[in-house]
Amino acid sequence: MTNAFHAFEHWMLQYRRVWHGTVFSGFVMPVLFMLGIGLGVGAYIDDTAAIGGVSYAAFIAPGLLASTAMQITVGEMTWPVFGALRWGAQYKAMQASPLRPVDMLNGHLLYGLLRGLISAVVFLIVMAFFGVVSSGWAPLAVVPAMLTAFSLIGFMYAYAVSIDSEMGLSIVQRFVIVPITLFSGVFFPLSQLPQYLQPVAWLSPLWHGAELSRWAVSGTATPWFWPLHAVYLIVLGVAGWWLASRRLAKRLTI
Amino acid sequence: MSDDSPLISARNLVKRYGDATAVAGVDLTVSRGEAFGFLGPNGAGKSTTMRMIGCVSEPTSGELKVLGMDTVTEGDRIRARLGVVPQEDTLDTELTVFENLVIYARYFGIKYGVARERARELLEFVRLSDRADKLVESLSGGMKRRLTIARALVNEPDVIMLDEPTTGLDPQARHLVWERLFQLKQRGITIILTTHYMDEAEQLCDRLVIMDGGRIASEGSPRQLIDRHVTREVVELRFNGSHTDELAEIAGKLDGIAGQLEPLPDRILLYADNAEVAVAEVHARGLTPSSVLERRATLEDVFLRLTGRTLIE
Ligand SMILES: Nc1ncnc2c1ncn2[C@@H]1O[C@H](COP(=O)(O)OP(=O)(O)OP(=O)(O)O)[C@@H](O)[C@H]1O
Ligand SMILES: [Mg+2]
Repeated sequence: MTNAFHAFEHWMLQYRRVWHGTVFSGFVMPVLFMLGIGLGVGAYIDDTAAIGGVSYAAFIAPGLLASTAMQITVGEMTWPVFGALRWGAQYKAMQASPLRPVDMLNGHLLYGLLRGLISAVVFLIVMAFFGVVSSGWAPLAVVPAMLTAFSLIGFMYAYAVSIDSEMGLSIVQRFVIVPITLFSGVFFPLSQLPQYLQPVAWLSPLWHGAELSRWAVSGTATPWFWPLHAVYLIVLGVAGWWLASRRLAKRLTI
Repeated sequence: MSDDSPLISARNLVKRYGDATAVAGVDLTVSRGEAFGFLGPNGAGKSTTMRMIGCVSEPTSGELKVLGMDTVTEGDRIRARLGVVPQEDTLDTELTVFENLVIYARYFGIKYGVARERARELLEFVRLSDRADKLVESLSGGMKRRLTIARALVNEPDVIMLDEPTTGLDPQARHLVWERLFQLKQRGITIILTTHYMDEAEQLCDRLVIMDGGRIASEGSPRQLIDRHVTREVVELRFNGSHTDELAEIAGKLDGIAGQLEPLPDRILLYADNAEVAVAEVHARGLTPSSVLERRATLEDVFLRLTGRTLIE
């Protein structure tokens, strides 16, 4: 694992150049969400029974927290990973050192998760600012947010190192990440979906993450026994990691 | 491992990419402290061999041991003791010169303090101290090459492997690199390099192999190779812009003058133990070359004799 940290340090060194920009946009995005959707759209919602009797802003905030952590983390595994392997020399340089492919993978994943974590913490601060945090347990919402990020990071990485054209990356963004974001009970409860579609939404890691997050922030009971949500995310994450390690090793062995 | 066991030993090393064979059965041994070279034209399989020795590419078949360890199963332990200068620079252009060295040292688990100190020393060594805080992007080709060499030394390697260290550099930059490599050699570091410049091979290598088409065509010190394959001296004859066909005809008339005869598209090479005697005989046969150049035989001539082609097309 120390080897993975050495690879991680490389990404941190690059991050040092841009971190203030990312933290700034990390604040701006949640503020826009809370203003535009939470308050703006929320103003049109009179009947809050379906969302547990809380304000619309309070309903969407925990889900958005998980969704943001997921998007930032997964986004960090798209072009940056594709580029590090194809365009840049970062991986080639690491390959000449004692670092093994799995170290390079773990280092990069750690960095992606850290980026997600920073955005989650920033989001939480913004939430507190908007007064939608009603429980002392709220900071724990960062945990399911990060589990959501973890559940998909390996799969995204595996995909980014496997494809031959960067076109695939925007396709994934549009046809996987966006639908996941929209149909995971973040903006409206799953009960609003047709009955037969609900089990499909159960597959979405974000649904599990959003529900756990909502439980932490507002005490809304989780639909399933809570460890099941967590285990699902962890199992998915481990499977993705395993796939990514296989894919990268294959790519680097020539 | 004991000190006299070979640093690198390859037996029947083969690398295939699909149907194409890049390395077609190479045997070689490199000892500690040697400066060993691969001389060969484009596509000879030099880089492929280097990448297998550097444990970033797996042999298709054959046996390859570096520092007494197996390159496939103990690659990370071997790489920890190698310094690698790949054919294409793998510097991080978004980081500064100094950062490139320090972060690379970290990959080897070298502590920050030590890494920074070594980075400073190495930048001094390759004369880039004044550029330490500049982005790599802003360096010239020769500077990048020197930085890559510095970076390869950051883990104090037992062996430094350089894939075409001076290709694309101007003469001045090349001489600076040679000078530094020469210093490393004197410190007893084992050097392995590839090149398609015969002067580079002659200057730097104690021993070398001539590679062509994935195979080793011959092996020895520069002197031995010249003695084995060509005569001591060479005469280059040109005939007023005559080309291939005419030259072949003239070559017929030169038959028997020298040990070996090599008609090229624009000139004829005569390999002779005594150039002066050979030139006198050319004139005696009534031939009037427009230019006559007498010179010592080089590795270029060895390559030409072995493969019928010149090193740089
Ligand atoms: N990754 C690869 N996939 C397919 N073929 C390859 C690959 N790498 C090298 N080759 C082929 O193997 C042969 C040897 O290539 P190599 O790069 O080892 O030659 P070289 O001696 O280093 O040449 P140069 O002087 O141009 O660097 C070439 O025909 C090349 O096209
Ligand atoms: Mg090469």
